[in-house]
Amino acid sequence: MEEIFFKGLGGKNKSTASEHAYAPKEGRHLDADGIFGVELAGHKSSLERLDAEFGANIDYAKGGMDTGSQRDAISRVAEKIASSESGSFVGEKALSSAVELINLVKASLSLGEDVEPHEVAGLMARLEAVSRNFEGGKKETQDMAKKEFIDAAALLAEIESCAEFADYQKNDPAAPFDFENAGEKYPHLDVIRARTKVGLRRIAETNRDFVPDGKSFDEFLECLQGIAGLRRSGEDKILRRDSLILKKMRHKPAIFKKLAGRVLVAQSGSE
Amino acid sequence: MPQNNSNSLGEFVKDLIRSRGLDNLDYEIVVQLKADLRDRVESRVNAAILANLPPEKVEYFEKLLDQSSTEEVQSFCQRNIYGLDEIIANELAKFRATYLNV
Repeated sequence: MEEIFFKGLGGKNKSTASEHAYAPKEGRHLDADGIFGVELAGHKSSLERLDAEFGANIDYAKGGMDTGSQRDAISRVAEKIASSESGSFVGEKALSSAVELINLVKASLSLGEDVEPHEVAGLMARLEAVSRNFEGGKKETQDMAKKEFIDAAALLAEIESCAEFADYQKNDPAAPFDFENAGEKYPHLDVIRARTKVGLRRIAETNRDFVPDGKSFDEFLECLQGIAGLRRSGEDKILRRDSLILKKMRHKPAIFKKLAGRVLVAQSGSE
Repeated sequence: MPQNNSNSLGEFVKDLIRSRGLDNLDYEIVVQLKADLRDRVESRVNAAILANLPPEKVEYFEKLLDQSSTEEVQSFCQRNIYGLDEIIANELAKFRATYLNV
């Protein structure tokens, strides 16, 4: 099963986008600003090629899943990704090929299609267990198998995505995601996250083939986080719109720096 | 001499880590903690800005983010969000309180 991860383009079940249920809707390509993050604006043939490969690789990925429900889950997530406006939930620079996308979806799905609020504490416990591997340099860089690495990265991305949504939903009194309360049980969650991130980054630096296409670990994590966010947002149009805007704001950090920095400077001046 | 904005944010994050007694961890972990915290502060403040924009201005705001300079977006926020500085200050204070559990 591991072999399916990060196989090159061109899955065994070649089909065209038009034959496939997960081809992007008319007029909505997986475009240059979209989930593949490649410079393809104006290159229609390349887009068509990617669209076709996207559909083909979904078939390929489904072939590697063990159960019907896993295959259905792949289908649903792929449909969400194909229909997401400008790939709003996946980092523009993080993806370069269809097969990579599907492999990441698979890694992300290994955590379950939708993480319910009551399951967050369980994820944190699992992440804490992973982070123990990195305490005091216990885990040597060669020790981790690729599958273990991907699963750990997917788990970390899920928690990062939970934190991101919790930050967004702090402004919504009806927020369903009880991340802060779960955090009370794990007061050092930030340390656990940081330690795991540093440990996995070191492993990725030593094992270049663990992360596809020569990408950095941080790009890889951003991509997994994007997929987790896409799954979480579901069909909620406001949430999807806001997530897209917040993503655009993050890409202009100077706005935050100026606005928040100004307030902090004023505060320090008045102390 | 006026303080630099980024330095202020850096100090804000550094202070949080110091107050939690985490500044003695491995250097790499502390660097990562600072980066993560900064991201979360940014997410919280950005979410507060978005939540306080008049609903009818949200679509235009999104366009501005695509097409306009930082100064134009900043100015738009200041013109359209009543009490923006207080909102941001409040969000930073809430973040601090949650993080330090005070």
